[in-house]
Amino acid sequence: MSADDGRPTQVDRSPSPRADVCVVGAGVAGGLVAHSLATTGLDVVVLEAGPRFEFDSRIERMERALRPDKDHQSVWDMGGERDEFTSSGPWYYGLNGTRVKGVGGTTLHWSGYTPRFHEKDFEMRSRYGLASDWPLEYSDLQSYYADAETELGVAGAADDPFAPPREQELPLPPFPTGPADSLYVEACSDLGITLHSAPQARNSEAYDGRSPCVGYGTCIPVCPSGAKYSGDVHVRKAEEAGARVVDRAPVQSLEHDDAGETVEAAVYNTPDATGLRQEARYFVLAGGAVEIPRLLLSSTSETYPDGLANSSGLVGNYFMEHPMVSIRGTIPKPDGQEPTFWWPLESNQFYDHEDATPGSIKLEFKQESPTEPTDALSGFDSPAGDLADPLAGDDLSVEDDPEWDTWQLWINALVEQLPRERNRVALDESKTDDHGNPVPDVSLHVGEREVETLRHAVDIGTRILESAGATDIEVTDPENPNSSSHHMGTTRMGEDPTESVVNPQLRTHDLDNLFVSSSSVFVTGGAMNPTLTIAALSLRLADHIAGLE
Amino acid sequence: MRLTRRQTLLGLVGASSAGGLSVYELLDRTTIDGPLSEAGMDGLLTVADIVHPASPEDVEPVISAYVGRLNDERVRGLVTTLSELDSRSRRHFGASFGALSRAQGERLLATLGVNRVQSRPEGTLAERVRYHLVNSVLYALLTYPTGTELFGIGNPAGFPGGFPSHTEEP
Repeated sequence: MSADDGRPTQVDRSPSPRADVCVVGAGVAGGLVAHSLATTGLDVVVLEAGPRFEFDSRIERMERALRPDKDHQSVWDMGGERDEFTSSGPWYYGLNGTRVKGVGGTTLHWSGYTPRFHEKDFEMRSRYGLASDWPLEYSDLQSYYADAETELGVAGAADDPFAPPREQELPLPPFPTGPADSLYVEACSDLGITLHSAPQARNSEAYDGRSPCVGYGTCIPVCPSGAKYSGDVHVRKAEEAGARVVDRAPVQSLEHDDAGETVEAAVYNTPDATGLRQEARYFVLAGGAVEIPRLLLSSTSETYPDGLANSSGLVGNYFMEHPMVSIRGTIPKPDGQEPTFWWPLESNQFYDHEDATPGSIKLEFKQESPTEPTDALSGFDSPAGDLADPLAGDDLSVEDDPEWDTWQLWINALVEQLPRERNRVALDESKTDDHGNPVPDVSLHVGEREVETLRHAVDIGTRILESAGATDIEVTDPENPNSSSHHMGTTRMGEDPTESVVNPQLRTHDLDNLFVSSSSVFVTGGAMNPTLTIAALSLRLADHIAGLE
Repeated sequence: MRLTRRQTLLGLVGASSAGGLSVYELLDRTTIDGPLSEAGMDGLLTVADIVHPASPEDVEPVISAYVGRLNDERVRGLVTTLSELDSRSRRHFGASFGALSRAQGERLLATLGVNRVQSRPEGTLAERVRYHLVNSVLYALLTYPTGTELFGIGNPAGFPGGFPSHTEEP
């Protein structure tokens, strides 16, 4: 019986004897912490709310992703009562499209981009008088960034002139460019814009026992070959090093001691039992910037009526995303161009800035066919209309259809969103999940600075596409931007317990043995994809906990 | 005793036939790798002939490999639907669906309303034919170069075409 079919299994999910470390969440953060600590000989138990996904099921999951007659959230079995949520802010947030619950976590459907944050991202107050500085500097994380690149297997070249200092080459060579990429290079060169390789945790050659990318072209939302890194890689390594991983074990609350100084147990349910208690000496929360504050806010007691680790009242506040605009234009299909997904080029020329506004912009250079062959499955409701008639037979021929002679250039611009207290994850007491717990309520506003930065990005992207000879240029609305599925903030890091939730060692100010390993600790979010910074912080935290022994 | 895949599938679907080829006859008798019998493959090739212009000899290995990758639940949906469709075929044309000409097959699917319904894995016969047969065959072909060359695409999404498809020069 598979472990992800929704039915009870015969797996033993009873608590282990008091462990050294209990990690809550088996994504990239939890996997790295668990692996590092298990390797040092500590007794580690990982509790994961979602299931284990059998690797062999990925081909079937890819079909769910490509077939228009499938619900895309079904790719990783998201949705339903388990994953109920509320989006109460003016910027609607479709939470379940931005995350995966299960062993491997959200990296199972990520794009794989792994840039480092820049120095300025840690110094927004000092440099621009905005938001707050991190209690860390780039140099504090630099060696951990290198370690994270090695652990995840990052491909790319050291050709980014805007990047912060680095100490070594990336472990894998960059991905090849194609005909449409060449158009970008020429167009940007004419405009004085520098392109460079995009670091990505996708194997450009065999690495760490995983195959090179074979080009299924479905990285988002599933990599059937395993060439794209996902958190289950380190969860598996953690188990090999002796950690115990319990899936389908959502933690309901954390219990503290009488003095309110330490956490004693994580209380979790399973398909077969409720109220199980996993005791440990240290607890690491690694369930992401939505579920971590939700768990803390749900863990109320007489001592902590507003939730655990929440003496500042800031748990859940300062939620951040990377608002995004897309600029698209049409070109004749370049000779030899094929669909791909490992878009190898980006530009960080507009990332570091002199003035406070506009803020950081990360430009990603993509391209695609305007129509996918599998659109034909949609039938007559599809824009592909005539092509799609399932009884078309010979009429499926498209030799004379001009649509198939064109290609789309497509620039995504991710921008920085400043932390604001009103952007938050709270509990919606009016709605409950499958265990009767209040669901997360995500409330997001897009600020004027973000909109101004997005407009600036639209201007840049439009100039590039015009220079590339693209026609029919369209842009998404900067005032109603897309999200990047990057959850950040909600348990921010800081020295001052009245202004932050965790200290620079990622330990909660309020409880001596409770740590957080997640982008939830980010003080500011920059405009860089967050996963490599999550990984670097996780490796640093593991070192810290190991050093407590 | 270890069950063969065919025995497992038969256990899942039962052996009812409703007048057409039974699921027993649609499942392969000789190998546990390829789940369909020749009669089962013939049915899918009739579908392919209706929905895609590629030649049968090019199509068969693509469909066969695709069906071989399906999990048991998907194979169950496929053979039960094909069995019911076969029974309709015998009623309308006095022949197995896999033996119909393209024109006959197209007429039968149109009569059932397959081109007028949404694709659903569990639903009316027309909805299930569209999901398990029409769209599954189309998916197999449109994620393989054999089925996408007519679009000018040699490495469609869903096909592991590798780096050679994405180079500087054509």
